[in-house]
Amino acid sequence: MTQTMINSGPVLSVRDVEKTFTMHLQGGQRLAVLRGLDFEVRAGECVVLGGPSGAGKSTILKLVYGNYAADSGSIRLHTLRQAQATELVEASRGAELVEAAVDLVQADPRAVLAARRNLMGYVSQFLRAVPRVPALQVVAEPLIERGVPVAEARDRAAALLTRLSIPERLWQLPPATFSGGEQQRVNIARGFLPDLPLLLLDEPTASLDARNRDVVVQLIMEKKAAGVGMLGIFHDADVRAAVADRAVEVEAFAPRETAHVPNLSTGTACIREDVR
Amino acid sequence: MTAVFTSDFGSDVGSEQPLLSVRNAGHRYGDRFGCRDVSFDLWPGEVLAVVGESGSGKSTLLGMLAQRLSTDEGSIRYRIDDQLVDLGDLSEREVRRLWRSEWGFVHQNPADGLRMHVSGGGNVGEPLMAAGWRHYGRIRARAEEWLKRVEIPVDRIDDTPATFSGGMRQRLQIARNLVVSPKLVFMDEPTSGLDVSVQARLLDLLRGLVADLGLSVIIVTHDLAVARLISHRTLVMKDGAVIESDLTDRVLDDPHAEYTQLLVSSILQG
Repeated sequence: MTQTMINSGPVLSVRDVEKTFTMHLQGGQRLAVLRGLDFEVRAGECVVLGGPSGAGKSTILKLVYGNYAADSGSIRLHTLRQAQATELVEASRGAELVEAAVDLVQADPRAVLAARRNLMGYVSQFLRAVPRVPALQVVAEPLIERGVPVAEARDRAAALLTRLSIPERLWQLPPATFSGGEQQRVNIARGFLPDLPLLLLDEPTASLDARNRDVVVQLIMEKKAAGVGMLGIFHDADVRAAVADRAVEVEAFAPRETAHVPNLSTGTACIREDVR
Repeated sequence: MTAVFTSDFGSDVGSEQPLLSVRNAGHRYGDRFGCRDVSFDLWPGEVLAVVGESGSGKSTLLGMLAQRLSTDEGSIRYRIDDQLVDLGDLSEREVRRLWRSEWGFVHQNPADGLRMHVSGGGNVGEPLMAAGWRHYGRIRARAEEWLKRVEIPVDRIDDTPATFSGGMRQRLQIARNLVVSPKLVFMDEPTSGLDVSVQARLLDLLRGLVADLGLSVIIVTHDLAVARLISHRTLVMKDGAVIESDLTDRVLDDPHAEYTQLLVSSILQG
């Protein structure tokens, strides 16, 4: 019973978060993007971020994943862990799991990395693949890093690539040579493979054909059924309608003097963003 | 179906000790500090990038951490047998033992870290002999294994690095450093002397080895793309001081200090 109670609880709660960018190279101009941001994502639900481009939807995903630092407020990830013996006395009898939370606004880098390993995944819009690493390895890597035996990780990666219509002849090739749609499907496979309580989705269907879009919708429904909470940006109205349980309208959290979100990271000629 | 997620999160954080713990450390050149007031902890398996332009103090910091330059204020402590020991209290002999068995140093110029007129196999075998290996066949087998691991054709084992390309020399230097399974490796601009295509290959190789071996690494680089690809955390240095320090992707995606914003905005678009 305790289990059911906790599982219907939030996996992510964002409270009163504020984010302002200070652009030192533009004479210290301050761009307030979000104020009083407040919402939660519960286990098994998919919450979509709504609003026009530039409203700060991607900023919210980056604040949660920790690429951006929030100025104030709290961003808590909730999880269950084995209770310590001393806690069992306090908790209801038989409860072996208690809730723990980490606040990503306060967490040190090591705790953010632990949260990324254990608690949340991120499917970005584009794959930033290292040259030379074969597609199958790119997809299996997050499982191997989390201790899944290599053979099992490869099998699960292969099954998901097959579902996403990536032909076997491509598996041993580096995705850098693939088409945009194929790269995105490799990226989706990599993001959806590990079992994590929270999944962040930044337009996962943007460059997919109808058939693969349907596969992604199915994957999202399966994650929901497994109790995964999801927070996503979907510009495709059909996909949004199919997967969304609720929408959070980002404009409601715009400071009055708001400006469009600057694209700070276009300058970074990086090869891959999810190295950790 | 209801999945229950459990994690060790919250129980492991803080319960172990860092491998290296630096507090307010500084090195002085005459009456001027090359670096000052540097504090950080390095954890097992963690890769820390130190970035900044030339003259920022990053090489001085690396030299001080690697015990080549004196620690004139503050402390640098290293974990030996579950105790954090002040490196200033160790004898030269004990520091030499650390270099033989637990530490490595990858130089920018491979010629500084290799013996250029000793064979490739000899360069990899030497650290094993220094660590007490005596059986020639085993040393050679291990050297072959490491040449393969760093993608040097085994039929080059008896050639000297003087006959190798720049990329091969750098890979050989890495093998020479990693063959004794060190815990902590210092790297000084390990890719910057190489062509861009060779850099990507070397970085990819390094990334894989560091993850497989669970190494802790402190890597000095002026190249933010290198920091992005390989490191977990980044320290940004300017005028001898650490001006920003955080998760690498946070430093690069959401830089706060004016100087860091300048560095990030100066990256050439690929």
